[in-house]
Amino acid sequence: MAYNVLVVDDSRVIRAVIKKTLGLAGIPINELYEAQNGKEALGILREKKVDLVFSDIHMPEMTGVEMVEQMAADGALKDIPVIVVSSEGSQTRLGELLDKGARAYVRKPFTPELIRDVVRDTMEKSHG
Amino acid sequence: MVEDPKRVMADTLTSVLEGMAFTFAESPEDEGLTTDETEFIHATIEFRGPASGMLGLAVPSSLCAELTTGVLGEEPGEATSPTNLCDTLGELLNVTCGNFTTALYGDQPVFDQSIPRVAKIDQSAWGILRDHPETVGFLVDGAPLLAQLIIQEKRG
Repeated sequence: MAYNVLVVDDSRVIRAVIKKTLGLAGIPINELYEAQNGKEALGILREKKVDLVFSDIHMPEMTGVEMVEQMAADGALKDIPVIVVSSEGSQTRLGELLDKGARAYVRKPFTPELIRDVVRDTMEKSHG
Repeated sequence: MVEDPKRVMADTLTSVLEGMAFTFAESPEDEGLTTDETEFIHATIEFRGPASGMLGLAVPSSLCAELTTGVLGEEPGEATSPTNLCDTLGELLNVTCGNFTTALYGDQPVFDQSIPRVAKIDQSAWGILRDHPETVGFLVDGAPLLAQLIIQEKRG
């Protein structure tokens, strides 16, 4: 199954790196959408069919945390898995993010192998 | 806090450059931080939590182009936009900052990081940064890289 993926990060370079890493990880991609912050991402999520979201935490306008909160409160979006990609290392904050609805966490810098394992695990859990 | 913050910052930066840009940073020999380049890029980020502070990185534009090539996995010599140059240095700093605070203070405290600020600087500003007492110099592929760390520990 090929996935429709949304990558949310204010860094164009990191969006490109995630896109490239997904290819190197052998994750089949159908459509790949990009957003620069949580607000833009919510707009795309309400218009397009998205299977999986990769999101940074610290972004201008709307952070990844706020985006996850709004997705969890929206019946149409709450089941779309969000994998947080960040340099954040605080287990306290990561625990809060998972409590709010994020499904997994990948710490930068990351490898294609790590991305592959996390995506597989997340999508398996997501499909029950 | 028992570890030397500058040592932790240096180890973290080295690891981030290796993991993201597939390049290595080493300590410079005498005069290793002197360069004929005239255009540089400087990025700063602030962190707030159990301690507050600032991290900075400065590199010649040519090295920033090399780092961007490494991060994006492009072929050397491919055209790199100025936006990507700034973006790359800001992101390398962002990742270094997140990994640095965890390495120094552990994985329980919560730190807030600012969005990195990135600007071009001239040789005069480069010289001031290079000679600043809080600056640590590196050589990356033979080019100089300056890293700055300023920490304000909270009392009580």
